[in-house]
Order: sequence, then C-alpha cells, then structure tokens
Amino acid sequence: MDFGLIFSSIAPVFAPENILFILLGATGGVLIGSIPGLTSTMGIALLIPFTYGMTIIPSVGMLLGIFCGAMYGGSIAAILIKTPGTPAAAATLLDGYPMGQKGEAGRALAIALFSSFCGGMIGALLMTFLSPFISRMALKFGPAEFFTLAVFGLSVIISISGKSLVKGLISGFFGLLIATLGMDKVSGYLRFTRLIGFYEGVPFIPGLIGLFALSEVYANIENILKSEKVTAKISGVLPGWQDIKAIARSVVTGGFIGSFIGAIPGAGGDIAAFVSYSEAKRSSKHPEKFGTGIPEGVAAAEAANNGCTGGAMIPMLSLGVPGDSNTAVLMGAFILQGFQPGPMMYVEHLDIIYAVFASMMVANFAMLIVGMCGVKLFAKVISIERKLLIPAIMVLSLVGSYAINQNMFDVYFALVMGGVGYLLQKYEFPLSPILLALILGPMSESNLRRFMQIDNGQFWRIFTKPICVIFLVLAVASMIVSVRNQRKINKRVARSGGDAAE
Amino acid sequence: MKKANIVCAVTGMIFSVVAFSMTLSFKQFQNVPVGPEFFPRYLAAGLFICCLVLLIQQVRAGLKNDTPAPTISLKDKGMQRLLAGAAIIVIYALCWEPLGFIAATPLALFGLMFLLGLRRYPVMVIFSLAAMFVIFGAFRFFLGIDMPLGILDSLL
Repeated sequence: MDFGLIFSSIAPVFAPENILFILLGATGGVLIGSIPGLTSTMGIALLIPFTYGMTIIPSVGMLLGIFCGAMYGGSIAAILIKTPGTPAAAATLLDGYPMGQKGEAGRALAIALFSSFCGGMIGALLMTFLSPFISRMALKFGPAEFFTLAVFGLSVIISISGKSLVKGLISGFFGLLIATLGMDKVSGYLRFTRLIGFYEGVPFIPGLIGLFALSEVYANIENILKSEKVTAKISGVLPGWQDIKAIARSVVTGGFIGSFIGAIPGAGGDIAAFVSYSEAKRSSKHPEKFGTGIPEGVAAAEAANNGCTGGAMIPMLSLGVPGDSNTAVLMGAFILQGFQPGPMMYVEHLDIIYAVFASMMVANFAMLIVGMCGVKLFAKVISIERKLLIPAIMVLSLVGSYAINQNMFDVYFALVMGGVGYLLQKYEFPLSPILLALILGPMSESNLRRFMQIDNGQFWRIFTKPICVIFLVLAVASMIVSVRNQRKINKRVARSGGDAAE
Repeated sequence: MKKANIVCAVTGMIFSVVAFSMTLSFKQFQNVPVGPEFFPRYLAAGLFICCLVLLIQQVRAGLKNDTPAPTISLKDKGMQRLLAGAAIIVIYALCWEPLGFIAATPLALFGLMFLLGLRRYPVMVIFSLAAMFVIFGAFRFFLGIDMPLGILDSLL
C-alpha cells in the first residue's frame, strides 16, 4: 500500500475550500431532504451544473455532502409531519412520528441524526475497504462479463418497482427503448430519429432533471392547494447517554444492513430502512412497542438508509454500475469531469478514489455538524412557502438542463421528460427503473454486441464463462429475493396504513 | 385505477408496435451477428408483453378492491392550473433565445407565483428579480456558462 499516495490524495480534501463545499453540500442536502417531494437525487441533479467549473474533488465532495445530508434530512419531515422527506425515510416515520406526537420530536431528531452519522460512517468504511477488492476482480472483465453485469444491474428494476412489478418492468423497458434513440454507438447508424440533439444518444442529465425535478414541479403546481402548512417546536441536538445505549445495537446492525443492501445495484435506502427496521423489531425484547414511538425504530431505519450511501458507492466506483438513483447521478458528475467510474479508475486515477473515500467520511461529519447546528432552523424549511420555492426550482431545472451543452434542445428535452415523468408518476409507474435503464441500457447493448462479434454470434458461450454465470445466477436470485421482499413491504405498509386508520 | 391502467397498457402496446415496426426499416449490416435493430426490436417486444400482462391483469381483476384513479379532467381546478403552469414554463423556455434569460426569468417567476395563488406583490417582485440575479450570476460569472442574453446581448 502506497501511504505516500494515500496522504497526498486525501490532503486536498481537507483544504478549507473543499471542506466549505462539503459543508455547503451537506446543508443543501439536509434542506432538500427535509422538504417532502424533493429527493436527494433531484438535489444532486440540480447542483451538478454548479460543479462544471470546479475540479473533481470539491465537486464530488459537494455532491456527496448533498447525498449524505438529504438522507438525514428526510427524517425531519417524517418525524414532524408524518411525511417522509425522501422515500428512504418512509420507515423512520413508523416510530419517529409517534415520538413527535408524544412531545419527543427533539429527541427523535437527535436520535435520527446520531444514527444517520453512525450508519453513514459504517457505510463509508465498508466502501473504503471493500471496493478496491471488487475492482481488482473486475479488471478481468470482458464484454460478456460486462453484459451480464448490466443484466444483474437491470434485474434490480424489480426491487425498485414499488407496488406493481409489471409497472416497474414497463418503466424499465420504456427506459431501455428510449436509451436506443439516436446514433448507435457500434455502427454509427441513426435509430428512430434524425434530430441533431440525439446524435450522441439521449441527453442523460436533462432527461434526469426532467424526470425527477420538473415532474415534481408539475405535480406541485397541480396540488399546491393541498400542501400542508406545518409548524414544529424542536429541542435538543444529540441523544442522551441512555438513548445511545438503547439504540447502539440497532445502529450498528442497521449500518451494516444498509451498506450491504445499498451495494446491490438498484436497491435503495427505502428498502434498506424497512429491512433494518424489520430486523430490529424481530430481534428486540419488546417488538410490540415498535410503531408506538421507540428510539430503536428510528435508529434502525436511519442508520440503514445512511449506511446505504457508502454501500451504493461500492458498485459505482468498483464496477461502474450505480447502486441507486443517487449514485447514478453522481456517476454522471464523474463522467462530466472526465472520469469513468469502474475498475480502470483504480488503475488510472487511484488518487481520486482515495479522495472520494476521504470526502465521504468528511461528508458524514459535515452532516453531523450541520444537523447539530441547524436542526431548529431546518425544521422551518418545511414551512417555507412552496409558492416561492416551486418557481425557483423550475428555473434551476431549466438552467441546469441548458448548462451542460449550452443548447436549447436539452431544455426542450427536459420539459418533455418532465411531462412524461409527471404522467408516469400520476399513474403509479415508478421512475427509478427508467433512470437505471438509461444508464445500463447502452452498456448492456454495446457489450452484448461486442461479445457476439468476438464469439461469432454464439450466445450460448456466455454460459461457459464463470463470472457471467455468477452474475446471471445473482440476477435471478436478486429478482426472486426482491419479489419476496417487496411483497413483505407491501404487506407491512398495508398493515401500518390499517393501524393508522384505526 | 382499473380503467386508467387499461388505457396505459393499450397506449404502451401502441407505442411498442410503432417502435417495433420502425426497427424493420433499420439498415441491415453484412457479417454482423447483432445489428442496430436487434436491441430496440426485442425491447419493443418486451414492452408489448409487459403491457399485455398489465392489460390482462386489469381485465381479469374485479372492481372489488379497485382504488380511484387520478383523473385528467379539464374541469378540475388543479389540472387547469397545471396546464396554465406548463404553458408558462414552455413559453418561458421558448423566450430564452429571443428575449434572453434576464428579461424572461422575472416574468416567468412572477407569472408562476401568481398562478400558484401568491398575491403579495412586493415579495413577488423582489423574489423574481433576486432569484434571476442569483441564478444568472452564479452560472454566468461563477461557472462561466453563457446564458442566452437575447435583446440584452448588445448591452452586456
């Protein structure tokens, strides 16, 4: 291990301006995460244009700050108004909101912050120690292995399909089909369209901004009168010693569960939080108290969803396959800076990899500091008038789409994708499979075609390659487990909905 | 939701049939085992099958547990507001090149805030101008991105 390289790589992360960018990111992330309807994915997508002029370390540091901050921020709205700020905080409200109802909102927020920090650090440490080994193995990959890896990545569309598996698959196929628009990267042939804007394929970031940010703008314009006006009183910024002792086990278990689930491409913080909550309840001495407002419930969910941040970075950095929609956008940021995440990055840009590891840990400390300093203030963000916020988000979305290539085609494309995203969400078609398909579609197609070219069109030979077989088996196993987990979550949500109704 | 899902399934099927038929006209390359038509053709088929499954599921499902679907009706106030908002956003985007970002943005922000029901005019004016200056300044001077200036091009 080259300690000289490690120190020279991580030293720039601790430069004052980089710490400032990470703190800014964490602040923005907590703010975005605490507003229901604004996701961390959207926050990262909106801020990517601001990183164009920066170098890789401050830009990635800022985006990681948003990622970590938003995961914690989601708990604020979940605890205070029973509306998860982000989908990953859905499990937090099961015990967080009842705690708030008992006059313990400050305690619940403090537990959420502490658990988020611990979970995030566990995830970051696992990312640091595991991803180099995975990337070393990935260097042996050829087109067939990358194709099956993409298939494995696409298989998790099922786990992010939400209530309806068929609708998730429809979203996935729709995304994959859209990803074939424009110039075919292998033959140079123009498919479906001759529009110049599609010559280099589908504009990814404008599509992403359209799907996740503009669709929310449209939905908010429609439902602005239904938005709740919220006021909340907060006290305390960190949990007491008794609480820390009570939640320690849930936090550590949740951190590991979150990291491992996050490392499965496509499985996000929402699933991890529910699985961790379920495990905490299963192993608790008093499972009947879960759902009535106990600290362990909040801790398990928050440690897991923040553990996911580091976990989701593992496949992105080591294999070039994003672990969730956040890391998909982060991957876009790396690419915009001229770095292609994947095994070769560990060979060509090891200094950047070390800097990312350090930034991730600093981002978690930044989240802790920002959370401690601003928890009272952030709670007020929930009551910011959305009539001011929505127009500002609209302008930022359009400017963000324009800024990448500085052409109006990208803006119009974002507008169209915003409309598509709005309609799909309205009729309960999940958007994340489209995002996953836009990323993995070109990778799977180009590698399949290269493999078929090399092996003279004999597809069966893919089953003679051990790594390919492992990925295909993992894909099938992932699909089966995802279907089972989703059924369990649907049942649990239905039960908690029924309980709430009672 | 049943009726809405059927409409979605049929729309998806039509979309996939159109996409599939378009792939039939793609150029065929010699000595290439998998051409540019291969992926889109199978994806269109996959989309068609999934839409067909959704259609069959909905046709076979009873109305007993049916949840109400979100409606798209022009009589609905929310939908009217959405269409007006979408019109403001589209016109705003179309005005970027002729009018420029500086001139178009405050108008669009003010219009959208008015549409959303805000009536505190001093706040609306100050917020519209402040948001425009902050965003323009950040992108133009901090990030070096040339925002469209339109009619102000000769002045700035």
